[in-house]
Amino acid sequence: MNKNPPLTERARDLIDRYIDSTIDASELSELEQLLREDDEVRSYFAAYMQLHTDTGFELAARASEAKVLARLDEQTDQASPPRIYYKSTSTRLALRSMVAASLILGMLIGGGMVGLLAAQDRSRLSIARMPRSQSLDFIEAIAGTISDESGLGTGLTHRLPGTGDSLPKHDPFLRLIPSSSCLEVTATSSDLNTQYQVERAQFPGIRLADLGFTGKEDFEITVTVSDIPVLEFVGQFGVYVGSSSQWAVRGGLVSQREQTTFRQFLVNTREGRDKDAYFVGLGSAGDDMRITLARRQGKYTMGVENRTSGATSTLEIRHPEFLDGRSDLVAGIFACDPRGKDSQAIRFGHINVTVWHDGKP
Amino acid sequence: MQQAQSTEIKRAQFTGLLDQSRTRLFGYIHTLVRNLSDADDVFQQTAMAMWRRFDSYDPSRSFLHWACGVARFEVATLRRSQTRDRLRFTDETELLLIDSFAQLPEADITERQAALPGCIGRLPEADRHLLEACYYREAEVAVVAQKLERSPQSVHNSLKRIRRALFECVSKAIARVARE
Repeated sequence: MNKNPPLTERARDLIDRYIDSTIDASELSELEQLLREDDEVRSYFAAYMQLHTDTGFELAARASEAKVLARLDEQTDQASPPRIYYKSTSTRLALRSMVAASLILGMLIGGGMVGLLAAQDRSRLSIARMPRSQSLDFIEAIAGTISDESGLGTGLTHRLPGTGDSLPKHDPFLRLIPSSSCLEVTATSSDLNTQYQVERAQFPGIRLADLGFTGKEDFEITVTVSDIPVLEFVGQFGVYVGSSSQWAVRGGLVSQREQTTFRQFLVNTREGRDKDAYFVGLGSAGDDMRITLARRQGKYTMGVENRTSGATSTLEIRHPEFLDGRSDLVAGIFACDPRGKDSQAIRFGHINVTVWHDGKP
Repeated sequence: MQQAQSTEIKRAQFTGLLDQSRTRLFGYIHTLVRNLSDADDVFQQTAMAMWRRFDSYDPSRSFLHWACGVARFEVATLRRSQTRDRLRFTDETELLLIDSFAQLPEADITERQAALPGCIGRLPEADRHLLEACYYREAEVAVVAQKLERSPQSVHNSLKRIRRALFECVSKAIARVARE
């Protein structure tokens, strides 16, 4: 009687364990040996893994279609339909990345900083919108707000919950410079993705509820950044909206391997992991930028104007449904340099946050 | 003008080659990173890197082999940025697997994608729900098991059974098409 299952069955079992990440180190070695020694195992493995990938896409397509149909039902009275990211094709293979990659290539080849997924309809609703805004020019200290290294109030009132918990009251990584009308934020070694050292992550902002936000209104945050510094690879800065370090959407610029170049990005953070990222080539160290993150008609977009090169671009992202209906959102600015040494500061200039309330015409 | 035409031709060549290889390239990346979102990110980075280096691509060599080679660098970058320490194959195995993905018949891939929705549709409802929980939401087996008040081994066994049923279903569909 065989103590072990037949080789092929054992191989299949190990492959399933590999897929489910329940394989241990010795089993992985065993699987590797089988893969190295047996062509049939390798062929089966590749075909099985390809099916595993296709299954993931197929299920994502189904779920996305269901959501889109639900949204269409809700929005039949609106002029433009929601953007569909997971397109249903004849083979129902929903490859967001492939669509995005094609568009990225189109951008690269065109050589211009055009919009990757341009916002479709920027027109306001026919009913009047009543803005409530807060602007910060950093020309003076504002008492009772988050303090910089010298105890000067920055004007920003809250941090994204879960971030900055270990930072002292007089934050050594914030520096208000009224003479230059700017707030310098040192990009600390941290990242929302994987929640890397979020306790020292710089995500100061304001509560949207303080502008009358109840969870359903549109809003936008705009910030200017001057003379962007050299950051380590994946160093990043920009604007965010979120309910906590685990659940947020943020966008801005992220440093590339060539450390003087940056790419625009927009990403959802779900359960502490970055998802649905979009990237576009844009920017160099030394450039001045204006970055806007907006929710318009419920859809999130980010626009970047490179005031040095004159280029502009807009990114749209898979809808972060986890933020829908939440009234406890914080919007603000961020600077992270996961591989850095807390040595580079981002100079944020004017910040404006607006919440749009429906009103009577 | 000439430069623009040349870029246009280069672009057409590149997108044509990428189009032919993308499914297998994505499958290969997904095999290495084992997470669809990560694979999605790596695929995008890989496509960008490939375009940047397209001038160095030797057309006499397999495009997919070249693409998978570029992808391995991007996977390595992703791994460096991740705090979790996942088990991974050795370089030797990863290289061997490139050949295996390259040898997957294109026609089979197309037929499998065409057959898959029907095969999923024929699964019992409970099996479909389990697949959705584990695939679309990308939840780990242990997390799904906790939610369902089942043991991780039990969930793993169910997934194994479902995947094999799907594999058999699409294999039969491919064989049927081949006979016709």
